[in-house]
Amino acid sequence: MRPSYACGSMEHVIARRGFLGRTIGGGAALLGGLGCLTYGVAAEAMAQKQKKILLFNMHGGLSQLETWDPKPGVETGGPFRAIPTSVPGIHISELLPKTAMQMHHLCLLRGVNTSEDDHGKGSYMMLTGRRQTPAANFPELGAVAARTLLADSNPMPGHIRIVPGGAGGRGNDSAYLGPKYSSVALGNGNPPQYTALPDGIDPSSEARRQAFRKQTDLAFASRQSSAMTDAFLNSYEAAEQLMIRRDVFNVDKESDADKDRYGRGDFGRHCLLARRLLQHDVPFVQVMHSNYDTHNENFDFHQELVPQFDGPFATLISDLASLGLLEDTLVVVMSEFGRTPNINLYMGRDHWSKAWSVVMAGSKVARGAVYGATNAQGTEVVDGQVDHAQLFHTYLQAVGVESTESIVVDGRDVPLADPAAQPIWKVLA
Amino acid sequence: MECTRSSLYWASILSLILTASLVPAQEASQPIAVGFSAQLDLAVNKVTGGNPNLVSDSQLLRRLYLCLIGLPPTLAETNQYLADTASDRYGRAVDQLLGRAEFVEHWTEKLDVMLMERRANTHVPQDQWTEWLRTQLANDRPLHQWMADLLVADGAPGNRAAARFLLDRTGDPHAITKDVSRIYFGRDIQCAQCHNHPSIDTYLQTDYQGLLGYFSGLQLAEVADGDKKVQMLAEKSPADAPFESVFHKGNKHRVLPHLFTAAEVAEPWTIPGEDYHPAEAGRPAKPLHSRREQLANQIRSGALEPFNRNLANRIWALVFGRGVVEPVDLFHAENPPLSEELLSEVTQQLVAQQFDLRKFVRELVKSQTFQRGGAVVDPNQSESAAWMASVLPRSTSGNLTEIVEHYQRLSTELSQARSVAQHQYDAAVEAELPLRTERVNSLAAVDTARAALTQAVEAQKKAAAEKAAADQALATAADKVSKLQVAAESSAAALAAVGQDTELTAAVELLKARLAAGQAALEPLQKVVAEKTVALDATIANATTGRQALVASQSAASEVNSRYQIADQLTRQKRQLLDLAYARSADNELQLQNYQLIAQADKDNASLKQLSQELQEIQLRREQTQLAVVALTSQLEQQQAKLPELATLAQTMGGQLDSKQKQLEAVQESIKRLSQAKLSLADAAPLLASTEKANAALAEIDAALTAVEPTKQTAEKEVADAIVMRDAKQNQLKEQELVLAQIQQQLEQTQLELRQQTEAQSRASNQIQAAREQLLRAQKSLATLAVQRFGSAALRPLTPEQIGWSFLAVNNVYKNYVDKHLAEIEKATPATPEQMQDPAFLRARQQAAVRKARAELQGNINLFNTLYGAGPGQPQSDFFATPDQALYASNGGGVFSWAAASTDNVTAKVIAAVTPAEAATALYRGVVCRDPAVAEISAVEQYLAQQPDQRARLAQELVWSLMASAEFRFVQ
Repeated sequence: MRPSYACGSMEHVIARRGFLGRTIGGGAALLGGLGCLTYGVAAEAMAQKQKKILLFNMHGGLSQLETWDPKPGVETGGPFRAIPTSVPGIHISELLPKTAMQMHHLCLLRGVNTSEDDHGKGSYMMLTGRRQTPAANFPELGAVAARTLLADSNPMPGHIRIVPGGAGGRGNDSAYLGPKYSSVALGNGNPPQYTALPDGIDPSSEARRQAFRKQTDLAFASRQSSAMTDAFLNSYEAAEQLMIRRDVFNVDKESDADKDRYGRGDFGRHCLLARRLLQHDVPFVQVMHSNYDTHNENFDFHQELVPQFDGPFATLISDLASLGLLEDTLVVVMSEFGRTPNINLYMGRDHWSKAWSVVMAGSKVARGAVYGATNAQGTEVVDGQVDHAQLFHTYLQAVGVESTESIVVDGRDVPLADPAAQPIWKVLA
Repeated sequence: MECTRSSLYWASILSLILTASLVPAQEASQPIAVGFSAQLDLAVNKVTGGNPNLVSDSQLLRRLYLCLIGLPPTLAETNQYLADTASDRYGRAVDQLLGRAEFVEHWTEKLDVMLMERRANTHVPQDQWTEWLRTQLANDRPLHQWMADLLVADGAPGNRAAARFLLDRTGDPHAITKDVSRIYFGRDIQCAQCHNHPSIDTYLQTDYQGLLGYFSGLQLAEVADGDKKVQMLAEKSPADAPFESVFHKGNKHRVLPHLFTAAEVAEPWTIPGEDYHPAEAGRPAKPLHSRREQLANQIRSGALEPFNRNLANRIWALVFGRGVVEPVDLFHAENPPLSEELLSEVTQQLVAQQFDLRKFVRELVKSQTFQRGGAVVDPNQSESAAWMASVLPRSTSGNLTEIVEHYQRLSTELSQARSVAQHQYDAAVEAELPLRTERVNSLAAVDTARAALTQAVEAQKKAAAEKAAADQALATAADKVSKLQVAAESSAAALAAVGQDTELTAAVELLKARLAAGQAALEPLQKVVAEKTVALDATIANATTGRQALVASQSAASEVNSRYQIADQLTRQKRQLLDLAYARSADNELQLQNYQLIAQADKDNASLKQLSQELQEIQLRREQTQLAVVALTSQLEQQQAKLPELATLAQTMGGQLDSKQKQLEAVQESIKRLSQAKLSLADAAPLLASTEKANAALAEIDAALTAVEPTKQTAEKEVADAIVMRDAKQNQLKEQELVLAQIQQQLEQTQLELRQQTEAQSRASNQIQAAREQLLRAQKSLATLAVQRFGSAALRPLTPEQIGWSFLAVNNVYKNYVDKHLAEIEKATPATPEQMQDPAFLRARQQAAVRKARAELQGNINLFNTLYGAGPGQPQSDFFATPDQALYASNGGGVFSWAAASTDNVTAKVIAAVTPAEAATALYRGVVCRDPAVAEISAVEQYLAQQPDQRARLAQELVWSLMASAEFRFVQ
């Protein structure tokens, strides 16, 4: 099912290839009403069913052997044991004891083969569902999600990345979908830039000057109504809504009990912020955990990093389930690739894209399931092999977006996902 | 497709495509135009009605300033322009702006964005690149010349700027092909890399591969630049590869460089080892036949249509806000120009102006088309002939229904024609397939022979080197021997002369022995030389054979190629025909759509008119009915008023009857009593003593009876009269009631009519409302078309640079920086009085100050570019508005503080204004370049009255509000 939109803006029209449809359709967008200007009833209606995606980007290349696909007792297996989970018969690494108790919500895909061992290229493929080519640039999942899932009446940004540091700002990740769908970075979980009044402007002068601007704008729009003027007026309304909702980005507003449950570390705080954002209907949130590029001392590093992830992640999954959010939220845990079964001289594991794992949960994804398998040593996929393009289709399908359709961007048809690939229907309930 | 009809039929269908114009045209009445601007207006008006509305003077000024120099006029400039009443003020303004330093600055920015699309500076710093662009523009270098330079630049140290176009696309042939196709030829064919374009039928994989051929030899090569390493572009002899569609594998094809539907560029066969210029020190060798040089030469010729049309369209789009072909990088048969005539005219003009940007732009902005106002959308004006004239193409004649039918018929026929053309093209391709395979194989044979020859040449080189070394060794040894020989002979002679000398004898012997050994050593060396000579001869023979084989394979390939070219020429002809069929269809659909909309508007108009008339009639009838209801109601009331009186009368009459009856009854009673007394007396008479007395009594009774008789008669008569009277009254009452009932009925009937008429009236009103809305929709669609066809002005957003510079300009921040730098320059190098009189000197000085001021402010502009510009490498012309822009304008950086009062700026003028009208005029003229409306003056007055003691602050807020407004964000 395609999501329904409160206003039939051109943005959401799914492309139909037809004679001249493009040129005329493009022109028609020049004129339009002020239909999209009001937040309110429509927004409430939307909020009921806002589909969302929460993406965990395990930066550097998470080892599948120390997490989702353990091989204890074999040459390549490393020192950690496999433990039972809340789903009988499914075992994961002992580094994930809390996540193991949430296994009944999760779906492990153990047959991922992406054939790309370069950080940049692997990351690009996993986030865009396409192989990188010099002749084209593709939008990341967050931009596609924002474009297809965000209702015009939803004042929240459609595409948020919680990043470990930095000032924030707009990401360069929406390619041809345009900056409207670029990520808004929350540097170390801080609210978006410029959402606070500058020094020297108090709320009363803010109200005064904005009221005058708005009056001027409405008068102008009544003379020069177009999709562009609508978008412009909308951007100020959305900015105002963001300022009003600044607290949504403020994780300090959460209770001390919750802060304790998620842990006081950066990643725990980011997970709690992610929950807060999802509760406020942000359609796409990416949380990053790094750095898993463990060419040296793979086991020591995973022993340190994976438990940092385990607690907050398990708490978040459990919360999403009990709050009912998991019904409409797809959770994905990915990386740019996995790590070699072979253990190198420095007790490290190197880049490995031939047989690794991705985890999905929520929305239409099958629960408490494993799809795909690797051989005993973990060196090859023996069942249910999937790649980045199929996964990308599947993420979209999981939140109700028909991934095999095209959308119209600036008068041209653009497929949402790689037309040469199909979704993995078997993991979709 | 099965071809069952006669070829004559198909020929007649196809001839449709080639027919120049099927539009019922009427051209005679146009005035003879002078100059390009007027030609351009004619071409525009031909397809639109030619909206006569021009934009207001002050808005035109803002449009012109932003277009030419990227800044809005300052308050002083606006005031000066509006005060100028000479008829040539616009032309003077154009020329003055074209001469300003900012013209070059602004168009450098525009062309930088067009060419580089805000890509990162990986290999060439931005300053170097913009300086190079600026130089081209400042010197009015023809656009096609320097754009061709960009494609052949190699980025050698010391001259790297022009190579940025290629270098910052990583020198990658595919990245370059994609962007050269879009930016130089207006065709976004990246989807055709691996197969024919999935949604644009006329973008073929061969187009992509043909363009790729010009760049396929490019790669980056590292060279030393001083003590650091830089990448420059190396061009190898290209290695073309066969390709096939990933969707339909099996038909391998291989093409040589060519542009779209043009023929392949014939290129000389080359021999390995003889195809490069000798390498210069520190630089990669250049091929003798550079393919990109071929492309550059075609561009430089000034006659390359796809390039010229794209460039004309792109500059047009920079001036008018949208292209004649839009999107600007989707030139294809299904997306024809909104007016072919206009695009041809503009392209011809670009060529005629010798690709001089300033001259070309000058003509564009002087056209009436540039000065147009917005489209008229007003249902109230729709009935006027003027409105119809404003939408109806000037070339129209005949009635609308017929025209629409004509285009509908044509639509069917053209789509048939397209099928036929498609079929013929497919057949031509099919026929060409064996030749394609043959050519792929023959070229593969050339490649093999070339590789073999390359090997043989290498082997020959190696053998030659080895033989040279052997020769050398032999020569050295022989030299040694001959020297020993000389020494031995001269020492023997010396011994003979000296005579017995033991030591000398030993020396002579030693020399002889050495000579013998030396001579013995020569032999193996000679043998080696002989062997190496044989080996060399073998490699030479091998190379000669290889060369012959290569030449033979090449001539075989040439032969195949010449047959292929003949087939391909036919295929290309069929393709051109197919493209034409698509274009004619698409153009026809546009015409059809336009006329359908006009016909629709016309019909809506007529039905609106009819409905209005009907409504009027209904209203009239309803008014009459309403009057009738009023009349009947009052009649009813009148008659009802009569009823009580009549009832009272009837009642009175009844009462009178009663009393008369009672009187009669009394008389009758007394008569009865008298009669009874008489009877009793008569009965009693025989018994009475005195008959006399009895008779007397009888007589008395009779007398009494007689006496009472008249009374009785009177009473009887009165009763009878009273009955008549009463009955009459009762009848009257009944009649009245009947009358009332009739009136009541009539009234009800009329009220029913009134209700029905009221309903009919509201129905008609709703219909009129619906008809008006429908008309409005048709008008809006027509307005959109008018904008697309330049009959009306498009609302255009400011570019990120224009937003940034405008924010700085309206508050005089920009001017203050320029003035500051002028003062600094004057302080550092004071001008002589003669120099102060020299316009060239003053211009140069102004230019220097402008450059310095802009360099200093550039950081602010970069921030705007980040917020308002699209991502790196993405098309930059699409409008978008995001909350982070609004947040920045509201809360970020210096935007609010720029609006603070400073000497003579808008805010200062608002503060200083005496009347609200003065304040509002300064505000609106200064920021959005127009005079305020009455309501706006009072809004400003009210705003400033909120806190009179904070006037400066409130004025600053007002200026900010207008700067942050939509009106500022767009050009009308």
